[in-house]
Amino acid sequence: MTPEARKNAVRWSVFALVGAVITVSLLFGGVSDFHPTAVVRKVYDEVEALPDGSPILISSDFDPGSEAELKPMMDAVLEQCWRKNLRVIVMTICSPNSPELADSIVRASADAHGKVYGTDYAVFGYLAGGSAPILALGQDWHAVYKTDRGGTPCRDLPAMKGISKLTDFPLCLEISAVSTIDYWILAGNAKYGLKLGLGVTAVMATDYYQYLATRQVVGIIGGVSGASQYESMTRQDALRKARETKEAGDLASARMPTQSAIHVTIILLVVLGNILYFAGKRKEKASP
Amino acid sequence: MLHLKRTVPLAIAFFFVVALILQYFVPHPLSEKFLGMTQKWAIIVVYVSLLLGVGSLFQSHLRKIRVQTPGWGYSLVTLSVFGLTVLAGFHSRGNSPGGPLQWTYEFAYSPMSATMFSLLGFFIASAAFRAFRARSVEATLLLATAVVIMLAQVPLGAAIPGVGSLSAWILGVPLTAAKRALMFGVALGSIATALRIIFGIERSYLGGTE
Amino acid sequence: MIRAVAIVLLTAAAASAQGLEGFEVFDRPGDAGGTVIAAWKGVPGGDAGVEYVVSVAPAAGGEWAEVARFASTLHRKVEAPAVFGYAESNERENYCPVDGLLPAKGAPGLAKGHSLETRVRVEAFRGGVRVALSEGSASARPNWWAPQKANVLVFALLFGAGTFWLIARARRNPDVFVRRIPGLDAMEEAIGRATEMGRPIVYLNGLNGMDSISTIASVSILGQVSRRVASYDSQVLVPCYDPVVLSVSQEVLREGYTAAGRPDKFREHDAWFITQEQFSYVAAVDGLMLRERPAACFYMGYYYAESLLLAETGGSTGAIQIAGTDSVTQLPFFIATCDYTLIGEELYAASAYLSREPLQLGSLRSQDFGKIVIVAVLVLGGLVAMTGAVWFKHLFTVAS
Repeated sequence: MTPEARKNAVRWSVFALVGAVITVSLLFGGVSDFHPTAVVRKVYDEVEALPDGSPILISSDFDPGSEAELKPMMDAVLEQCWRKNLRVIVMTICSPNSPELADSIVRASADAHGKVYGTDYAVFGYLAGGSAPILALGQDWHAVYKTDRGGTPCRDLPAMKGISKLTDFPLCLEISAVSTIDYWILAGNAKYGLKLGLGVTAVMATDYYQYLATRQVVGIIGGVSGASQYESMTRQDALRKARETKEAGDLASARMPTQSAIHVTIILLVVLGNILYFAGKRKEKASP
Repeated sequence: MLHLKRTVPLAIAFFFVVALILQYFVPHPLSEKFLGMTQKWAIIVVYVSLLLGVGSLFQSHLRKIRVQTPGWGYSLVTLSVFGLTVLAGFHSRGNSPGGPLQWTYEFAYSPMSATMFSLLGFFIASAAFRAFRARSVEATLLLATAVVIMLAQVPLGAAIPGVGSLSAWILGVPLTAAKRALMFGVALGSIATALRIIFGIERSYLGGTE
Repeated sequence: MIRAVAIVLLTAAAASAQGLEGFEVFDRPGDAGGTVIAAWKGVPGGDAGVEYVVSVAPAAGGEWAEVARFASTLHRKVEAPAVFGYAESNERENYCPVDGLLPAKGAPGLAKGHSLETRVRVEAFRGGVRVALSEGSASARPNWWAPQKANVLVFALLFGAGTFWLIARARRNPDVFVRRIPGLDAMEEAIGRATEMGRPIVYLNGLNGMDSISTIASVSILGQVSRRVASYDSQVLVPCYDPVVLSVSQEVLREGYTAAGRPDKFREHDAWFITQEQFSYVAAVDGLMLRERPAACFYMGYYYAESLLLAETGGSTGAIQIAGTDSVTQLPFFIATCDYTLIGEELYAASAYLSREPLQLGSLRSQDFGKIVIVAVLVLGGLVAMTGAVWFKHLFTVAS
């Protein structure tokens, strides 16, 4: 076997193993119970501290590629917003495809709670230009977003009452899979002092810990595990129901057994790789 | 001609970079108004540049179809799907629940995009298996850290006493310290590049190195 | 009888209400206008259990309107260091900003610095009885300078001046030492390999736009790469994620080929736009790699979750892979899958390293000096902090 062929065989074996572990754990996994860590709880506490009826801005900066990680997070946050009767305003600066996804997530969640579009929530369209739209919204929301995504003027949306600029939102949650977070920190927080909570993919979470100490970010919900932790605080009923009926739907907590299994598999693979590496080295030394 | 291609853009870049730096220190409404205006311009430029991208996409694929380069059929598929998506968009007037645009989004774009992302899991496992070796003390430390963080991310590992707090410490102390150091470097690099742009030393953004 | 006595006493107390200690009303410094601040130390005898009521009225006359009512502990000066600094007494003293005093849109004279003169009255009540009262007035003027950002300006000026001094020095003495960067040295080898194999090079600029420093660095490197590609008569393919980056890349390629004396070899379609959708872009580039089987793949610029998807696919084709990114979270993936990786600032240094242009090398030096200053400040700050002093920290705070 050539080294190239051996390398490919190893790759495909790893892929097959990972595929098998995911399939089995998806079929036989249950619903995990994950206690919230301090950084996730901080986001929850900030939302909880908002007076009933306050507006909250959610920048939904992800597309279907990251939906599996970020949708459960958004669902968990929305659950809390509805319970507190917050006015949820959703926007996006990520990609032209994001508003469609954001709209469908918020509508589904709002419908399940009897919330009315325009009064309890509103969805705005995509704004291109990185930090430019954030800076512009910080000066005059209505100059940038004259209408919502469906074309309804802002003044006809009761959910937008009292909002003329970014700082009229006591809290903004940036749920993102890309660099839009940097724009929100630099333009939203540093320039206008906007209070920011983050919801990010697991791989990005470590990128933003330094902003916790400087209080530029109030807390971070990272990946499916963060979403699962948030669910444990806001979606207890759904979790209970999922455990009883074995139908988990989109719950992040139902994905945690798979994530646990795959993390353990990767750790075992790394251990195996090292055993083979040292065995190979010993063999090399032994051979003259 | 050279003036138009070099001097004028450099002068514009100089003016706007200096003006926007000064703007940061000037809170007067006129200064805020200027910032707002430039941001609106930036948004317009970005939207117009998308047209540039679409033009390039068409140009590139039409050429492949015309010359019939190997794999030109993919170009045909790309342009056809592009056209169909645009038509679906017009039909749905950009946003109508249940329309063909939403259908395309939900049943084509969404699963394909998620599939691409999910490949990452397989690739990470393969790369970790091949590359994570305890070759030296540093590499062993790296490996041990990775194991702790991975365990802490799942309930199984978090249930092991000490893993959660050790992971929180790693993320909060050494990681933050290292990231800050890197950020200092990045920030200084950004300032140095900005200065090079202001004074015309850095011209690569104009599309040339001379 | 008792009621009458109480009324008499209350009236007397109200009539004898003293002024608030150290009361002043002034325009908020360093703002866009529209805000005046009332500040005071407290009421004689201490303000425990006191409730303050703040009212405003136009200076020209008119009725008082209540704008705030709060317990004495609620608005301490310590909340607004941009206005009051960091004095210890700020923990005990009070203030109240009065916002929204800008004239209506279109009102004359605002741009000339005119603003509304406003009277502010603060009353202190204890147990429903007014114990102190003060009044003052100020204009809510827009300002041309934000003094709270002075420290940023000082650092920017120092760093800027340092950079120019070093650039001037590098111009006089172009022999600036830059340590070896193996990844950049390997580029030459990779381009040579591509020529020998008769296969193209795939060059990616990352997923950020031209406003990103890493993208600017990436297109600079592309300029150097394209010159070598042109002189070796090889081919470089640049699939782009951002239309503006595409346009710049095409120009850079054109310049590179021209500089190498081979303008006839330049093909505009070697750089093209794919999409601004992250995973669609990955799918297209992965497909390109698998079809073209490039001899080398260069990943320069800023990357996200797609880094490993690209580098693993590139690696599976047997290409030499060189990455350069300041995206810290993606560095491990590139290190695991690429032959060489430029880490963070090495990417910024690449353009200077490859071109050896004294002006660029000079600015590279300034980054090192900047770092020395930062390290010195960190050490000094640590030592000062150990003594319990906080003034040093405040020198580096942009107060809000």
